[in-house]
Parts: sequence; C-alpha cells; structure tokens
Amino acid sequence: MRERKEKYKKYKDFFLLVFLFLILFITIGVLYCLKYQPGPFLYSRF
Amino acid sequence: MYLLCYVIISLSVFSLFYILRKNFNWKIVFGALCVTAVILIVCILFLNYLFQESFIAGGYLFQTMKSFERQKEDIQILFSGPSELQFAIIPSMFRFKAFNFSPNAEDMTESYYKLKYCINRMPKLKVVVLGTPLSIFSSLWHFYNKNKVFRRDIFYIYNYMKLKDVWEFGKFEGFWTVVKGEFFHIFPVLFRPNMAFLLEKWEVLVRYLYPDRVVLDGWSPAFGKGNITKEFARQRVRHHFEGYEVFDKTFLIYFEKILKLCHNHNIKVIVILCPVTDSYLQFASNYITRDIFYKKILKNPKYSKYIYKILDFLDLFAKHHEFFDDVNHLNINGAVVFSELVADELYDIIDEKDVYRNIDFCQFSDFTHLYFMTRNIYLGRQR
Repeated sequence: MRERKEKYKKYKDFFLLVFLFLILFITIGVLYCLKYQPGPFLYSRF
Repeated sequence: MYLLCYVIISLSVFSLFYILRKNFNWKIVFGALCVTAVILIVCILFLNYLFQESFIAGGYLFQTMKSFERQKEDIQILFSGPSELQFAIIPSMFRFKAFNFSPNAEDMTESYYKLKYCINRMPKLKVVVLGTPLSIFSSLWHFYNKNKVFRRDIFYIYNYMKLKDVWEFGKFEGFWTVVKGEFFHIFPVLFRPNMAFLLEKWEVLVRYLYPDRVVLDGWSPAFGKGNITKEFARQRVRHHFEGYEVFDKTFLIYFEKILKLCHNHNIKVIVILCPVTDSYLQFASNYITRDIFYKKILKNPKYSKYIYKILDFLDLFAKHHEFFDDVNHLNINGAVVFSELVADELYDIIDEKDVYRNIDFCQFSDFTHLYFMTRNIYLGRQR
C-alpha cells in the first residue's frame, strides 16, 4: 500500500512540475509579448 | 494584465521551489522540463499551422496567388504595386484580361522578384502597370523588410524567388535579415510582433481564417465612407516619410531592374499614380511634391526611356473624399470610377483582336449586383 502511495506521489509531483513549468513559461512569453509596442500602422493598411 | 502576469510568475516560482525543496529528484525535474518543452512545441506548431496564412496580409496574398496561378496564361495586363493599387483597380471591369497583383506594402524589391517570376509564365502579357505612389521609394519599406513582412519568404517558398534571388537580395538587405525572415517564415508565431498581435487581437486572426474580404482577380474592396480627418492624413504622411529617405537607393536600383526586365521581354510599362486626398498631398508636400517626383523618377532619362506612358491621377479625386476609404486608398465607389478611367486609357494599347470578352465576370453573382449598384449610382450622379 505504502509503495503504491509512493508511486502515485512521484507521478503527482511530476505532473505538478509540468503544470508549473507550463504556466511559468507561457506567462513569461505573454509578458514578453505584452511589452512589445508596435507602431501605429503596423497591422493596418499602408 | 502586467500585474497578473507578475503574480502568476511569482506564484509558480514559489510553488516550484516549495516542491523541489520537499522532494528534489533530478530525474523528475528533467522529465518534467522535457514534457513541458514537447507540449509547448506542439502548441507552437499547431498555432503556426492555424494562423500561418492569416499572418501574411490577412490571407489576401494567398488568395491572390491562388487566383493568379489559375489564370496566369490568359492575363494580358498585370497591375503591380502596393496597396494603393490593390484597392483601386477592379480587373473584372476591363474588356481585356487583367489581373491586380498588388499586396499591401509591397516595395520595389518584391515587385521585381514577383514580376521576374510572373513574366515568364504569362505568354499573353502585353502591359505591366506599375503603381508608383509618392511613398514607393521611401526607405520606410526597409523598416518593414526588417521587422514584419514575410512576403519575400512566401515568394521563396512558393518558388516565386529562387535561391539565387535570395542571395542577390541579401546583398542589398543584409543576410541576417534574409536568414531571420526564413526562420520566422517557418515559425511566424515566434515572431514577437506576430505573437503580440495574436494575444491582443486574436479575434482578428480568427476572422482572417474565414476571410470576409472578397478578392476578385486580386482586387479587394474597401467599404470606408470617406470619413477622413486632417490629423489622420498628417499621421499617415509622417508614417510614410518622417525620418526616412524619400528616394532610397536600393528601391531606385530595383525600379530600374523592373523597367529593364519588362523592356527585355518586350512588355510595355505604364506607370500609374493613384489618387490621394488633398490633405495627404498638402502634408506630403513637406517631403515630396509631384514636380520632384517627376524630375527624379518619371522624367529622369535613366528611367523614362523605358516608360511607355504615365497615368497621373494623383489629384483626380483630391476633393472627393466620398471616393476614399482612407487618405490614400480608394473605397469601392472610388475603385469603380477609377477603374473605368484606367480602362479607357489602356484600351488604345491593346489591339481590338486581343480584346478579351470577360464572360467569367457573370459568375461572381454575389458581387455583381453590388458592382452594378455602385456603378449606377455613379452614372446617375454624372447625368
């Protein structure tokens, strides 16, 4: 029983880490893009 | 939004430390990083696949290229230039087969490589109408080459440009720009301006997936109603000229290359100046006037010997703001009137036996009624 618990805990930690890394990297990416200031006509017509 | 991002980052870093302090295992951390990387790469590839066409001129270029490939063998007159021409010329209104290949913000370098590809594939081509708005030689377009436009890379990917051309172009634009362009063509989502646009205006990109723009033989209609302010004109002129060279050396070289290319293929070149509003002309006179443009380009013996005809409509609708979508782009009404005028001018150049009966036009049933409606409004006004 204890062994099974240990195994599940290992998986739990693993997925938690994946989740946290994902959130961290995506948020850093979003922040990096939000700081970008395009010119007034960048995506309009020229 | 920024605050939220900072809070999320802090929280996730704190949680990471907490978990790793409690139970640290290199294998698990490395495995988690690998899985995260795979998930992120899959997400990026998916977004790339989804929005690749949308990132490039709102899908216009792809639609135009597809349309061009379908009918290139019949085309007699090709319109090439920047967006001023894209919104102004309706090829379906001509009595001969015309095509409007004018993606927005196209500079002379792109025009050259596009024409180089097109000319050899259009056996019936007789005339190239080159759109030369006052801003066409501005070094502003270098800025776009370095920061945004992937069109050249699209030309390359679709064989419009050969590796040799990319090499030649690299000499002018810098090889790093070319390499960067190639990389970001494969992963446009990774390009910072694109990513920012995706985050801020994702709904626009989704709309681009199902384009509401009608693209007929390269023409895309604009439905603005001439609500043009002087401030907007001032901004647009500043955007085109302030801090830039009005006559950039590279673009002049490529302009000459275009003229020579057409001359060598026995194709007439007509240069067209599309209409702009009076306010645009007024503000633009601080940087460039029509006289200077004529002296430096159109009447310069270096270029003029290759130019068959100049169609100057620069101030034709200067005071008719109802024909404009914005200060330098015609709306659908303006395009109908303008295309009729251009068609009259070009009619003499094409022989009577070559006149193409544009029966296909009737197939565009969704659009035909709109065209005739606008045309009748115009004719009614004339009477």
